[in-house]
Amino acid sequence: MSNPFKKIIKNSGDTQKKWERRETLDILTKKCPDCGAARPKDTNLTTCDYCGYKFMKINEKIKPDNI
Amino acid sequence: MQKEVTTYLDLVKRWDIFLNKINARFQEALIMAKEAIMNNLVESDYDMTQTSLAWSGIKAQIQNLSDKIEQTFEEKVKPQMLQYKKEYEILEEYQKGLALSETFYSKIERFQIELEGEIGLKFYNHAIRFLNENFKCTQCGAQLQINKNIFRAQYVSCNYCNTVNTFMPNAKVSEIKWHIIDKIARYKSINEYDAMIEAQNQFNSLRMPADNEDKTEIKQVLKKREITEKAYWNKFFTERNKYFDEDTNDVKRYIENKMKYFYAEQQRILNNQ
Repeated sequence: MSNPFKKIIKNSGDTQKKWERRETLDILTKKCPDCGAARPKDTNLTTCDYCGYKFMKINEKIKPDNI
Repeated sequence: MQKEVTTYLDLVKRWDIFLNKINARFQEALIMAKEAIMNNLVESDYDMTQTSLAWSGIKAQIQNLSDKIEQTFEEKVKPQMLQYKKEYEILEEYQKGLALSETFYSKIERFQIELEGEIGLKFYNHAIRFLNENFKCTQCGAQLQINKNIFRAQYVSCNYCNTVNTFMPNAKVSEIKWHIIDKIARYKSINEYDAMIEAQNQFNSLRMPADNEDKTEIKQVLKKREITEKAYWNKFFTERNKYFDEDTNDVKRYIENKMKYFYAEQQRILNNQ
């Protein structure tokens, strides 16, 4: 006997809104636009540790690895 | 007179047969629903949105069986029975249908916990494999250790070159947190859920005592409710915590928050407010 709910299943697939989904898992690194260096661990998030380029126009230090 | 009694009894018999058939159809529908949903989960490549939509549609159709009972009684059974009996005399037959129809709702609720739990476990086993891949540092290529218990974007420092990498999970990994873990935890707490519902039903069957009446029985049942509800939430959050890295104090706080509703209700009842 065929499953009586097949039509509902088909409709749910046909009518649902298709959302954009992230299909891949990625590893990214934010690089300094000035010298191209990647950010090392435990360094200030607002400033490049190598060339001193400011990523954010604030004076506070933000170290997300220590949180 | 003898003919009338026989005819009325025939009607009752036919009504009983109808109720048995509806009940059998209900049980069969649950089996079919599970089969259709579980197959679709794989066929849709573990699309949880579609699976949830499909279950909503199927659930509504199964719940319609309750309306079918009432409709059949009102439109077909009652007019025929009224030819032989007064309305108050056929009340028992109406209640028979009502009792069956009410069991459908609680059975569907419990079925949903089992279904979603099984979907959740299947989805989890599918999606968690993505986190078992090898992730490498963008700067030196060394292997990175991803935290597998938070299911969201995270900073991952390389142990060799100290570079901070950002790990971005795919949609399925993120969904584990938002749609899956609570369902698995509910499923794994199903025995505690049954005990909690039994205590709630026992409580609902009691008549509230007046101010000057003895409240011993109601207090005993409330105590049973408190114990079973606390046990349920404790089991639920303990199971949930096996997948998340949550602070034990957070878990305690969650249980306290859930129990707040019960204590407020208890206070209202005992103070007759």
